Amino acid sequence: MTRRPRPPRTGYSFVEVVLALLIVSLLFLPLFTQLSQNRRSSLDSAAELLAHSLAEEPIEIFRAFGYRWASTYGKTHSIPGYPLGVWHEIAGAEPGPIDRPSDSVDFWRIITLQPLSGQCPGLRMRVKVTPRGGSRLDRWLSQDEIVAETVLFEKPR
Amino acid sequence: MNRNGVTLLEILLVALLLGIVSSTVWRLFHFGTLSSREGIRRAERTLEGQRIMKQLRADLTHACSPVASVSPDLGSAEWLEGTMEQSGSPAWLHFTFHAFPGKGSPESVIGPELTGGFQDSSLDRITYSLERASNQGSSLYKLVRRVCPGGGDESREIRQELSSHVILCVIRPVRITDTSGRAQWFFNVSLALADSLEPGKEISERGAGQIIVEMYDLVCPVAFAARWNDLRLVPNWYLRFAGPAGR
Repeated sequence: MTRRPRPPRTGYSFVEVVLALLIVSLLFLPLFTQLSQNRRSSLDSAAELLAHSLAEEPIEIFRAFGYRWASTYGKTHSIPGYPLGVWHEIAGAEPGPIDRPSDSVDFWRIITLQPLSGQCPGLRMRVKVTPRGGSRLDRWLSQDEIVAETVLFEKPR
Repeated sequence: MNRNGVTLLEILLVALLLGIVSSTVWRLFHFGTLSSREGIRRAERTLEGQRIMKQLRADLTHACSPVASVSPDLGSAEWLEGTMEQSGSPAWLHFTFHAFPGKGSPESVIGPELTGGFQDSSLDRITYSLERASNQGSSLYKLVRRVCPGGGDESREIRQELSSHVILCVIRPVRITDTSGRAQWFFNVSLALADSLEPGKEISERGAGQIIVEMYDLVCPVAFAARWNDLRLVPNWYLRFAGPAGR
């Protein structure tokens, strides 16, 4: 018995077509990821801007009151809602007189004052702001925390 | 059997699969585009808001009372009242205040005979006002900044439209008091900008399909800080601000 030669395969098989479709759709994936990245980065920048404002707020207050006032802060006087050295909610139990965007409640803040070493009396003020774990802003913000710093000096003589 | 072509069943199956894949691709592309557009608009409004807040901070930092003969015993509340004038009702608010020129030295606007005020003729009069956008159905406002240099000379007024996407802009004086009773005045600025996700669609009220960008700031004018440090305006070295008592 002689075997007849198989004719040459000029078309595509079903499996080949399905595989081609799969590869094409996979090629599109990075494009869609890139498109949605725009939204994510804009949400990130909006959240970062708010975090910066929240970090700069205590600095503005302490700078306005001045070095002498700040050097005894927490001992003889304090402002409710601005504790030193502890992470605290912003606009939590004591919202205070300042109007902030509603998303501010999703942040935590810590304020530290550290005396400067050297002959010139001064305080290094550092404010850290971080999103509350599991909050919307925690997903949006790419940075773990925002830090703002300043130095408060005594009036030179 | 000679299999040069494809069967009808294979064509139908491939067409079905192609339909499913292209439908998924179209959906992904549609949502990706929407998401991208939202991101671009939010970024635009955020940048616009940042620019406005920067301008507001620059102006409010230099805000001061135009009264040339302020009593040294004047309390901070009166000092503040003389600094900011608010008129209109929400949301058509107008905020007017005087400010010494940002490029000039603060000392240049304080006369030698003054006891705590500023030379009115040296000050700029600045007004921030919200005006209704041209489209009646829209809830958006235009935020306009007007500057009358040199004591409020209206013939030299400079008008600047900062944004046409504003839904809220409030400049509010706030008094922050510590537990010992000492207080300081600040300006609390609240700003909210909005945009529609669908091109050409008016924003009539807050709701879905909109981008809202909210921001705030707390500003202590240098004149307030100097005032707080000493009622007679002693030199405030940190702010490079000198009053009559320090001369």
